Amino acid sequence: MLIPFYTTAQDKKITTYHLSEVTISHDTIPSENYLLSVDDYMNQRNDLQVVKRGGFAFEPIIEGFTDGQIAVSIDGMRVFGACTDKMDPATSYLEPVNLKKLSVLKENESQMYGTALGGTIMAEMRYPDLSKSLEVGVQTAYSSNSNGFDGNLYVEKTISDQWGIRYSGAYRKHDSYTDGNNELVKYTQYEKMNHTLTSTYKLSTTEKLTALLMYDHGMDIGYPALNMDVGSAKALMGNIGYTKHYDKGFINHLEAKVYYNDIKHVMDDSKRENVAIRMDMPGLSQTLGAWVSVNRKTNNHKLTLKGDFYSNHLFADMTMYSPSGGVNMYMLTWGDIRRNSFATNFQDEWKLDPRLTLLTNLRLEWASTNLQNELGRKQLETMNYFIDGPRSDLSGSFSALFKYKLNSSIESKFGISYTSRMPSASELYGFYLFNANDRFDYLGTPDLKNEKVISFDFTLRYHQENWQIGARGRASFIKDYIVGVVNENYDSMTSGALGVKTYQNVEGATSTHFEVFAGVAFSKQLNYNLNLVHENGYIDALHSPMPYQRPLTIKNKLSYQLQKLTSSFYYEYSVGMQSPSEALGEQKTDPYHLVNVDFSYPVKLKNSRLYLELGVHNLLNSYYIDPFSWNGIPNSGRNIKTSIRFII
Amino acid sequence: MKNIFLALFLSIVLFACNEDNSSIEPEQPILEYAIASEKDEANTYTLTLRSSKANLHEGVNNVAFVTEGDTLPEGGEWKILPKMHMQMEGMTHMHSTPFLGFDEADNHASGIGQILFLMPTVEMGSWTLEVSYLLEDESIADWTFEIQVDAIEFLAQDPTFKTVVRVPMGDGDETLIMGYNFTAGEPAMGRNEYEVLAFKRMQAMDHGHGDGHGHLETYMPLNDLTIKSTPFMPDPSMNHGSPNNTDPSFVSEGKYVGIANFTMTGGWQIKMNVSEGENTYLTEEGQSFYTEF
Repeated sequence: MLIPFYTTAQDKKITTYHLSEVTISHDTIPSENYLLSVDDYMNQRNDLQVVKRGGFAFEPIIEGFTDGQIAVSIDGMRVFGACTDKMDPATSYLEPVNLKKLSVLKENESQMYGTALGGTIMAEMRYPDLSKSLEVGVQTAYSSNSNGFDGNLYVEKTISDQWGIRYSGAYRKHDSYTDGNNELVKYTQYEKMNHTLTSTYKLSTTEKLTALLMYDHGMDIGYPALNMDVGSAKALMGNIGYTKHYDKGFINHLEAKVYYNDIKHVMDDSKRENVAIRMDMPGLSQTLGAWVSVNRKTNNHKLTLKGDFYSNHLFADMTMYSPSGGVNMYMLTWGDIRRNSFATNFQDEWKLDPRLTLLTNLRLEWASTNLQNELGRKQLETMNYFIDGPRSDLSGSFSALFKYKLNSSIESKFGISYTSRMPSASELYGFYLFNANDRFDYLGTPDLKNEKVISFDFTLRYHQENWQIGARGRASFIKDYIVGVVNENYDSMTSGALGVKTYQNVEGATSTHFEVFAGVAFSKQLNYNLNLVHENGYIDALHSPMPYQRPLTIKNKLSYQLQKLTSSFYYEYSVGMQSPSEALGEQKTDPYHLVNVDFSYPVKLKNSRLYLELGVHNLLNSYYIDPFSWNGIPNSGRNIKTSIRFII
Repeated sequence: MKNIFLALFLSIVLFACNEDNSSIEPEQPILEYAIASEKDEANTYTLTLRSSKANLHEGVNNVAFVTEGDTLPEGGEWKILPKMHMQMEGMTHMHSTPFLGFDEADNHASGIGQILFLMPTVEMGSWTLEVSYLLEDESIADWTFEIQVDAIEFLAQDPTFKTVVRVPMGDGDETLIMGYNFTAGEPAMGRNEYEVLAFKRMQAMDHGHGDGHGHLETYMPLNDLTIKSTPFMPDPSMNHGSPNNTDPSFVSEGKYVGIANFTMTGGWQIKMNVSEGENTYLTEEGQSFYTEF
């Protein structure tokens, strides 16, 4: 009696089920309704977890894998945050009003966008589809808890049969929120704006050009879990794409893109009280890239070949203002780190027989990584590392997934994959990067080896016309796991830090993921979905659980359509973090219950539509701490959000 | 004893000319900055004081004396005498300061040496450098440089932060004198090789009254010290050290060389524990070298 509102399939970009009248695409951003921020949207998903350091810029986690272990692709672009403290994950520069889809890709599919152990987050931007001459949408919302304003606007115009443009903009401003005890959680405020222009130009019936230009600016962003906030986070991204379909010929589809993105991130502690030392910490990330992909379909095969290149440059430094009137201090934390990467990816979906399909994927990536700044190199000499040129890494993955349809009701999948990923820039060359979660300064290790993982994945799904139930499990065995290990010979640099950790390869770590999903459509108006997840992981060398393993969490969603009124009731229960990775800064959290209700009511107007929306999130005003929240920062208490949406 | 010669008795040293003149190339100044030029008393020979830095300063200075114009006769030796002239209560008190090196001397130049100025030029005290070139004990030329020695001032105000460390050696009048010199010229982020110059000062018999010649204090290079060092950022917001440092070890008369790793710019101490046999002269809680960059 259950219908999934979500599942995590291995081999689908868009997890969509067609059950009776119910069609729910988990990855597709709700059309025209951009009330949620990307953070909210990621937080509500079942196939993604987030790390919260405050009220903004949540860091995505895929089944316990994070940072260098996952890849982020924004409209086909590799994007790397510019903050050494991970305060600006690439997703923080997105707005739902710009997005068509936000997908979480795992195993086979994920490798198309980067060599990633855990998966890939792929954001597809919204382009004009030339189907409407003009559409304008405006939405404003008010949040009671944070005295917050959210507004967005989009204009989509078809200029000719061949050419269309779309502008979208968003602005958000929120004060600090209060928690479930009605206590103000200081430094959770944020403000941001986003402007995006996309265009489609049809060269012919089979060819088109696309272009994107996006500017995002975050301001006065608080991070209560850290020592500093963010004064400014600016991102400028642009790309030009080309697509061609071939009705005949050896290949069926060709797609190519060139892109560039530039991110400037400035940390700020000017609003903090009682800081040990005032600091400026700017960071810069610039990425230039291009890729081309071709597809070929035969009777039994779907072949994809992709080649991509990117060049990423990272720079970050710190100026520390002596509180005692002494000389100011300066150091580089990312000393002009340049990574040039070339990768090729081959994928084949082979229909072995009507019931059995084999999906294979092979990716090879070669990268050159260099610490270019002479000062940065001299700093590393203090650790007895003498860098005189770039290092080369070969990484990649191989995966095979069998999909077997036992009968019309039972489907199963079994996959195995091997992935070897190169160390990230911070893991190689980071210099005294303070991690506010475990309160250690982190030092990179330039001679790290690749981290390797073998994963086994199994899914079983049983479905009938109006309901389905299924389960999925994954086990990963990691070799040369990269983790910070305490180095007692080194003094910490950050005031209040507990010591220094250096990134090291440790012999073994394992992680498992298990979930049950189910859903039922009681009627055309009423449906219910359930998702239960539990994860586990252990690092042998540290005798510690792996971080970011999701404790048992159950999510329920009941949706009901009463005439024109759409309503949904959401209930989440988590046992809380019971086995924290204390060695890496996690702490126990209590179980919690979370209830959200949402209503939407359309008002019919002449030649336009008006929607009135109301949401009450954390209806019970529960005081709770997200299991992955840094330093026990509590979540927002009850928030009443009202919205008006107007579309012409 | 070999040390006797190196003890610079009366702070005067005679440097024999190096017969191999190729060690000094007049076309290529051996040190970057010309500090001052003087004619000798007979107005025949011009001698230039050169330094590795734009100004002389309190602490260790890398200097050389180079002739310009007429060439001095070969086979002579150089005599150098730094003097501080202090005016106190209507009387002139004089003292000298230790130095090392000048090993590559010839008839063109003295070779490079290191003078450790114990104090800067002050309102009541000025420095001179008296230089002579002798041939078979006969003076060929004499020069006197009136020089300015700048004080090193730090933003950090701590009386134990020193450019020149001076601590008593036991109960007598002897004093341990130490100065530092970064081999690359200035300290910088990263790995820094540095020299420690160490001397024992013995008081003059008449406290340097009168014309001073023959009655200045004595500086003896110390060669048997054990130096343990800890680079450290004393700023209250920092309060940390750095990894993988190397303690200074003896390399030549009065000179020790070590490695100090500076992980960032700022104010850095080099704390030291200095001992000689059973005698400990300095601990890390006492005076320390200090630099800001």
